[in-house]
Amino acid sequence: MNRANKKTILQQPISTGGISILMVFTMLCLATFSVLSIGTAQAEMRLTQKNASSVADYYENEAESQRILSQIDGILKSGQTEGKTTEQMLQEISAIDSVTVEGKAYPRRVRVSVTNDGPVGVELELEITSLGSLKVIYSHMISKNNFTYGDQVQDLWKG
Amino acid sequence: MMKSIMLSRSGLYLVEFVIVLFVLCIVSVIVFQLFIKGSQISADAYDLNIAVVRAESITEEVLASAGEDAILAERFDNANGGYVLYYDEKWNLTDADKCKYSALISVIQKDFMLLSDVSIKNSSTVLYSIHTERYLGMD
Repeated sequence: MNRANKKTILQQPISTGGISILMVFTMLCLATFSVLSIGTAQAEMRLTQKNASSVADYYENEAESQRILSQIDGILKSGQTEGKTTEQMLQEISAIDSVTVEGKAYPRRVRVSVTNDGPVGVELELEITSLGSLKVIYSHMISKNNFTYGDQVQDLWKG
Repeated sequence: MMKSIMLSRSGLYLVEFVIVLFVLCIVSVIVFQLFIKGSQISADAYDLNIAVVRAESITEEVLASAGEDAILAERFDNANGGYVLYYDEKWNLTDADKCKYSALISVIQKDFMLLSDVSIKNSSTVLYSIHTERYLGMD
């Protein structure tokens, strides 16, 4: 490198604009990440609130199904003391909201299905014998998209 | 002539640098506020999530105990006619004086029904609560 070239390099002015570009890029990155961060946090909160509301809903429906169970047991107990037939008692039971009596043969299956406006409900399956005794077969959670959480196994992907 | 041009360019650079730094400061204040808000929302979501899990777990324990005082007293502390559990800031069980969160449990037996209320609270507000009932049978 000769002397004239060295002088040119030393005397080269500081270029303007470069720092602006760098800072604009930094600010854009910061703004993008902050918006993404708040978006993710809000999505997380929405998901948590949905979960919280579906759990509360499930327990509310569970309480309702247990109240109906108590009502059914009450009908059977009082019916037996009053000397009613099992058919008469089953007629009273089928008049309760959310209750369906299935089949004609004993033991008769009684299904209690409580689903309010929420995404999950509760289903109870009961068995009533010809002598009027009550047995709870199963209780499980049901959802609007037909997913059942309980003792029934869903169809699994078999490959 | 050349020297004066060079001086004015370095002055221009300085002016540019100061302006950019000023704008960066303003933008940073806004951006960091957004980051802090995001972090706060995320922390609240975490607390609510844990509160739901704790409330659900306590409710199931109460239902499984069928309201037996002996079982409940073994698992929870007695407080004002009900039961209570205390949690620290990391949701581990702790004593009343070190607690940040608490679970208040009310168990009542009425007309063959077990009524359970579980509320998870922080120092000032109720984070989450579950009410449920279980039929205990007439026999």
